[in-house]
Order: sequence, then structure tokens, then C-alpha cells
Amino acid sequence: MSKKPVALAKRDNWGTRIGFLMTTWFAAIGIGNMWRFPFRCAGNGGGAFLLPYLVFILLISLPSVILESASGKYGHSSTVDTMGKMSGLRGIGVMMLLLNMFAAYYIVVVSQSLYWVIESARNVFAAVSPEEVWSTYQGNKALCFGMFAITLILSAIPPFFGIQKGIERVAKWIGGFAFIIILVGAVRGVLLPGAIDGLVYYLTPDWSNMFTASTLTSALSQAYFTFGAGWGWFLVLSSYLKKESDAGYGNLTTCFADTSFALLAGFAIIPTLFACGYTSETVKTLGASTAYVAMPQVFMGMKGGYIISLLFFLALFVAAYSCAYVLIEVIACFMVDTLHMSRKKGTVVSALLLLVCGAAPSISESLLNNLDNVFGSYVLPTLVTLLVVAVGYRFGGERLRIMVINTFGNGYIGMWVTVLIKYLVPAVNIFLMVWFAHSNQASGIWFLGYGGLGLTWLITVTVVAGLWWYDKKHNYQWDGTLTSKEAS
Amino acid sequence: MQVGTWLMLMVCLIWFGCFIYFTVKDLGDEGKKSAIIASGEPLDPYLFSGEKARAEARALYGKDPVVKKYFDENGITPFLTRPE
Repeated sequence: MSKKPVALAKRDNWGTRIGFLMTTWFAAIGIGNMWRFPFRCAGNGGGAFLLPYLVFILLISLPSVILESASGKYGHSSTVDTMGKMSGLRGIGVMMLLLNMFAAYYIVVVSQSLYWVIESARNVFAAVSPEEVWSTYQGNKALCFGMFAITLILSAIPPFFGIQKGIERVAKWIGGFAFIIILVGAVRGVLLPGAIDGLVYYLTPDWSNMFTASTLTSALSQAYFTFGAGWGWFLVLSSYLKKESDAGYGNLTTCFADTSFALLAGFAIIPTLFACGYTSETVKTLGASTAYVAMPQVFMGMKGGYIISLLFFLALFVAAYSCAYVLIEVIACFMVDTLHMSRKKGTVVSALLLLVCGAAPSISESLLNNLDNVFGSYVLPTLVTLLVVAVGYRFGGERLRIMVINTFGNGYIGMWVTVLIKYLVPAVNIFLMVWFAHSNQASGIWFLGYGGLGLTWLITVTVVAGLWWYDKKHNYQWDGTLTSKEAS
Repeated sequence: MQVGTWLMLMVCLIWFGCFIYFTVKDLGDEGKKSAIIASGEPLDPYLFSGEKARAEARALYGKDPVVKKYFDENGITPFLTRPE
């Protein structure tokens, strides 16, 4: 007797709604929201950046996430199966899978934040400057790879134990912890003596900056990438929803949670910097990476700096870690649902693949930065555009809205979401890709400019069209080919 | 602080308020659904999305074989007409 495929056995699902919400919130929040947002906001005219950013969140990010989430609930399987079922274009699901595999460099970023936690716990920053700690770390390749491997193992633990016993349990605990830390940090930050100048710098709108190309593009790209649409994360997480659960209206909570966390991080970081002697001129020189060096120095100069530093970097690690295990889950889901492996075996195979893909960026900082640049600038917008083509056009945005989003929905979502998905979202994606290619062209590195954009499209078209041609030859059936007779 | 700073502070507070409101609403609605299922009563798929959503679904059901199959398989079809 043949063994029953695992995917045909009862599929795991979410045990509690808050577990699902916490997982999606922190998958959206990630490291960039806590780290990049405060400096981008303050450096681009404060409120003048914030207002367009919030508008872009509602117009671009929210519809993209609703689209992915509802597709996941309908497909009830991996990215490859879902894209195949909805559009006959399994290649889009394969590209999402490849994106998550090569995004092993993100786990390298998580490993760096873990190293910062360890060094904070050892109170190293009291004696050694953060620059020295950083250069020593980067110079020790074995240590870099070791930290990456340890982080990878830690990130594989939640998917290894499944949705309810693994991911949901971890998300509830560490998500709650991160929210409390950042809330306490924000309250403490604004109450510090001298912090009011930081608050004014962070929030006061510089209206002359509001409609400049740099502010609007910065707000648009931050709003676009903050949610992480296109990775397939929301698709896979929503595929574990029960049939009576909402997969549309509930994304509003993700939208508000993501930005609330980013705003709170700003309240925690910017006023603290001002309270410790930074001015509007010196803060401008800080970016996400330089702040990694600046924050330990700031904390060490404060009363209770050791514990504040440790908690801050723990919260940063938690925010980053929450994305890492979701990234592994996307690959593990494919192993389980499409290749019919057991969950434990599927997770181990996924982790091994990521170990191979992340080995090089773990020991080369420039490779890591270049990968981050190419994936963020071209691969992700390409995949969101293809997702719109597959679901918005081939499957039908209105069909998805009426059939999945509003059925068992916790509120009514009107036709506006379909209009935004079909027209505004792809237009913004294409604009961003061309803008990035144009801006990066000056770097002189061919794959960061138009070369990278062309290569991304060439690979994507080859994979998607190749698999479509193969499936067509083998008479692959997808839901759009369903006739009235078959439906009856 | 300037007027602009206060204004942006208010925008932030409204955003936090929306986060709390939509989270409480979402958890409450999902809790009500679970309670209905636990009591053994049938759950109306349009309990929270309303009559407009039901009317749109009813209209599409007759025209679209994909929708028909999905609704039939998931036990939604009986609810396309408003329960008494």
C-alpha cells in the first residue's frame, strides 16, 4: 500500500486569531521598520514625509497585502500551487520561492543583530567602541558564518514544529515582548530631559520638502517595502486560515500595526539621541547602518545604559527574527504541500538550501548589500506586478473580492480595492523599478542599474513562460479553465 | 512646540487609535464567529460584510462557474439568500 501524501492529510491551521495577527504584523514590521523608518522620516522633513507615507500605505501597500492574503486563503497551499490554481502560471510561485531562497542574506542581517545582542549582554560596548566591534566581527569570516548558521537553526525551529505549536506560539511571545519594549522605550524617550527638541525634529513638517521628488520617492519606497508584499509571506500565512476566517478586512490591522510600531520606534530613538547631545545637524549624518554604531554609544552614556542597550537590541533582533522564520516557512510550505514531504523533513531541507544560498553573503558585506539592493529594487516589484497580472487580471480581482475577501469577511470591502490592485499598484511598481535603475546607474556597477533590471526580467520571463509552456503541453488544468458544466 | 508638530502628533495618535480599534474589532468579530460555530448554529458568511456583499455574491454565483464551485464546496450557497 502506498504511503498517503502528507498534503492530503489534515493541513495545519491557526489555533487563535491573535496568533495569526501577531505573525503577520511582525512579518510586516521586520528590521527596516524599526531601524530605517525613524531616520528616513526625520531626514526627509518629518511630518512632510509622514503624511505622503501614510497615504501611500493605504493606497499601495494595503491593497497589495489584501491581494496576497486573499489569494493564500483561496489557494490553501504553497505559492507554486496557488499561482498554478489561480492563473495557470506556476512560474510566479516558483519565482517567489527562489526569492525566499536567495533572500538567505536576510538571515545574515538577523545574525548581525543577534551578535549585537550578545555583545550588549557581555557589556562589550562599555570598554570597546562599536566601530571596533563591528570591524572585528566583519574581519572574522568563520565567526560571521557561524553566527549565520546559528541564526538559521534558531529561525528553523518555529516552522519545524508547525503553525500552531511552532510559529504561532513563538509569534505571540516574542511579538508581545517587542511591543512592550518599544512602547516603554517610546515613553521613556519622550520624557528624557532635552528630548522635546528631538520630538520637534522628528515630527515638525517642513512643508517646503513635501512635494519634492526625493521626499515623495523616499516615502513611496518606504511605504511600498515596509509590508513585504511580493515575498509570498502573506500568501502562505493566510493559506493556513480556516474557511470561516477573514482574509481581507483584517489586513487593516497589519497596516496600522506596522506603522504604529515604526512611529513608536521613532519616538524611542530620535528624542533619545537629542537627549544625549545630538542636534538636528548631527542626527542628519546618521543612517540605518551608522546608527548601529551610534546607539550603543548613546546608551552607554545613560543611566542604566547596559540594560537599555540589551533590551533595545533584543527588540531589534526579535523584529528581524520574526521575518526569518516566515521566510523559511514559505519554502517549507512548498516542500510539504507540493513535494509531499513531512513538515520536519521539509523544514530541514529548506534550512539546508538557505545555508547554501546564504554562505557567500554571510562572509561578504558587499555581496550582501548588492543582493539587498537588486532584490529590493527589481525582484520584489517584478513579483508584485506579476501577482497582479496572475490574480488581478487572469483570475479576476472582482471575483477574488466577492468570493474570498467579502465572504466570511469582518467588514465590506468595495470595488476600490480591485481598481487599486489592477491599475495603481502595477503602475507604482514599474515606476519604482525604472526610478531605482536610473538612480543606481551612476554607481557604475552594471547589475545595480538597468543591467540588473533587464536581468531580473529576463530570468523571470524565462521561468514563468517556460513553466507555462511546459504545463500547457501537459494539459495543466487551472481554475480559470473551469466550465459551467464542470462546476455543476 | 509649533502647530505643525501638534498636528503630526495628533495624526500619530489617530493612527495608534485606528490600530487599537481595528484589532479589537477583528478579534471581537472572529470571537463571535467561533462562538456561533461552537454553539452548533450555522454561520452566515455575510454576518459582518453585510447585504451588499451578499447581493454581489448572489449575482456572480449565477454567472461564474468558479464562484459556483467554490460556494457549493464550502457550504456558502444556502446563505446567498438572506436567512430569516
